[in-house]
Amino acid sequence: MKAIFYLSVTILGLFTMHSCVKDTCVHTKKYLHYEPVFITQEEFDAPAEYTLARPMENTGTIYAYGSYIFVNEFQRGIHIIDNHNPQSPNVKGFIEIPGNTHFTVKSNMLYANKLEDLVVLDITDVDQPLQVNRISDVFQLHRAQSSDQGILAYYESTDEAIEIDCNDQRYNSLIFSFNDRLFFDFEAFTPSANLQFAAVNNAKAVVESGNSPSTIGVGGSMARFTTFGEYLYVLSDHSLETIDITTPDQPVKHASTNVAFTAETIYPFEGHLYIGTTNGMHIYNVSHSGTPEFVSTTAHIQSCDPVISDGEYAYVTLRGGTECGGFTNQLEAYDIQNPFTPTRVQIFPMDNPHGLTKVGDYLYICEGPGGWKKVKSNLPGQFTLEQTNSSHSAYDVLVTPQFTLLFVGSKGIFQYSMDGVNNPQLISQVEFVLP
Amino acid sequence: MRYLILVGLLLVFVPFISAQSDVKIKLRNGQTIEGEWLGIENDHFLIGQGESIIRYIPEGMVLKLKVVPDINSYPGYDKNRNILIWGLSGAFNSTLGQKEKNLQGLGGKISVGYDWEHNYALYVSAGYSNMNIGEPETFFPVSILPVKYLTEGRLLVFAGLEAGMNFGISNPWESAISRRSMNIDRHISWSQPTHFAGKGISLTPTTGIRIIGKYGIDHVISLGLHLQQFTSQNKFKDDFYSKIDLLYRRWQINYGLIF
Repeated sequence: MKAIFYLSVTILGLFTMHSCVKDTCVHTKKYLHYEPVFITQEEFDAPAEYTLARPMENTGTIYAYGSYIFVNEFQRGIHIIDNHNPQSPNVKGFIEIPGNTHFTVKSNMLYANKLEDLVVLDITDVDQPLQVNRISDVFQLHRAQSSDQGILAYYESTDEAIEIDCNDQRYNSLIFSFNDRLFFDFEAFTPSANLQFAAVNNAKAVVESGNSPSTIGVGGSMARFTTFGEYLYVLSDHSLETIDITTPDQPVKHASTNVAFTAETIYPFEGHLYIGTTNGMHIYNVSHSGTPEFVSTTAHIQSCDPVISDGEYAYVTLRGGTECGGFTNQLEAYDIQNPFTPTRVQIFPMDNPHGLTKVGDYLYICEGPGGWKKVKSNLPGQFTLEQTNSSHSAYDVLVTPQFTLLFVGSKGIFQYSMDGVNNPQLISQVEFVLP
Repeated sequence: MRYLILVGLLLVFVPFISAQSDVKIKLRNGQTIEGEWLGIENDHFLIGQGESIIRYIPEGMVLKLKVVPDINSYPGYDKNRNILIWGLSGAFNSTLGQKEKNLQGLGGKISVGYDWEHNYALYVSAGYSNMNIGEPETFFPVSILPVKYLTEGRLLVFAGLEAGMNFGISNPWESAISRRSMNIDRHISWSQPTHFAGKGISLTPTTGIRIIGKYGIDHVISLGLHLQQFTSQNKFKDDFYSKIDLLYRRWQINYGLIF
């Protein structure tokens, strides 16, 4: 009887307590929170201003020109780093350009966007950059938005850890509203990992040219601005603007070309522009009149895809997930000896590929938080992995005119000596101040 | 689900509680009689049923007679008293009334313990547990369980409090592609920073029955309210702070063997 009594008590407990037998889960997570920052019309119209060096926090485009490195502070302006001694780079100053996201340099002229406007700065004297021109309505990607509070120049991003119940509808959302503010999943919208990197990649040209380093400009592989011949090309989402810079300080709008899919990166090589989009690679010929002439499109699955070329082959990294869509992460090589009919010749699996560059037979491919990889190109044979470096994150890479390998990670700029091409040695780093 | 658990408990417990027969006779007319064997008198079998009924069955009417031996006469019966004991058990756990869907898990443990006169016992256990079937939500639990037996005889009803530490083996926040989804319609996969496997303490008030068995093997069936805390934090906490605080609150049903 005693046994039956205890059993009855237990079973009764089942009935009375069942409502509280539930898992409870709280995810405390860092989210990006954006506050709009407005400027007045006077501030928007004011010329770019050179100021003292400031900490690098949320960097974007990077560009090596001569013995200097230019680094975009996303939507704020451009840092100037003296790289005369690659073993000890020195942050010199900062050019304030509210709303700036992309730029390129040619013939001592720095071409940068100020929201949708194009500003031209003479950097002959790097210690005194001087705005010499400005033309409006060039860059369609970041148009000024006016309101009662002024012109929206940029968003002040701060991160904030908030608690979300795993049962909450907001849980697992990339973007959600909370207390009248907008929050972005920090993991999916890593500031340094997004599409903020730009500039052109002329690594092969640098390697093969005998030009003096002081006149060569080199950028990463995730560019939206580039120059070729006497023209500046500006890539917006769906249009390619051509600006005549025959007179470097007097740019003139030349043409506007529609681009299919969502265009992300632009890379010039031997009279062609290679445009990476979310769904494929476009090739345009710009060797005739400067106006882009469509050559071909090679479609691939949806992903983020910076592209470079060495004239024989085009190298495309496909990155899935986050804002890019798709789930594929790989390096693809296309035979472009006939640019009208590119054909894919090799695939190499990657983890989270971002920017890339090619030096000789070797590709250096950024793997985001996972560091970078050195892959030997044996095309048309298979790629072979030569080296993996996971000591720091890497989102974009370029070869400087001093023939150093420059990686941009979430925590800083890392410079490697290429004296022994087979074994790049870290020689310096400039650390960012993380917000 | 809770009704299934109840029915299961009754089906398992009732036969043991009501079992008293030690002889079973099948008569030529098809009738079956069960009862206590009292002997033979004048060519009649004497079968006791309850305290006041004695049946006299003529020998000629009996087609088949089966003597069920007394449990005490089995070899090895009740050998796990005042001795070091070993145990093997399996467990099923489940939430009840979770908002979107209930979550279930399975596990198993190996135990070592000691029994004091069927009055108290202490078990130390280690094993493997999954808290979300089909998902990599797994632990290596180590626990200690003191038990007080509330009854005597063959059926030992007990109550105990199991305290443990659960070391995470894997969890959905650790993997880049797998996510725990309590909101089943919101399962999204994208690149995520990995978490540590995590760990957490657990406390399980439990009650059940230990059935003294034959051949030195006892059976244990128990029911507990399993409370397990779990914390897992992001490896890259400088860049992407992310921390999970989870409290598992589950009904847990165990079946085990003691030998």
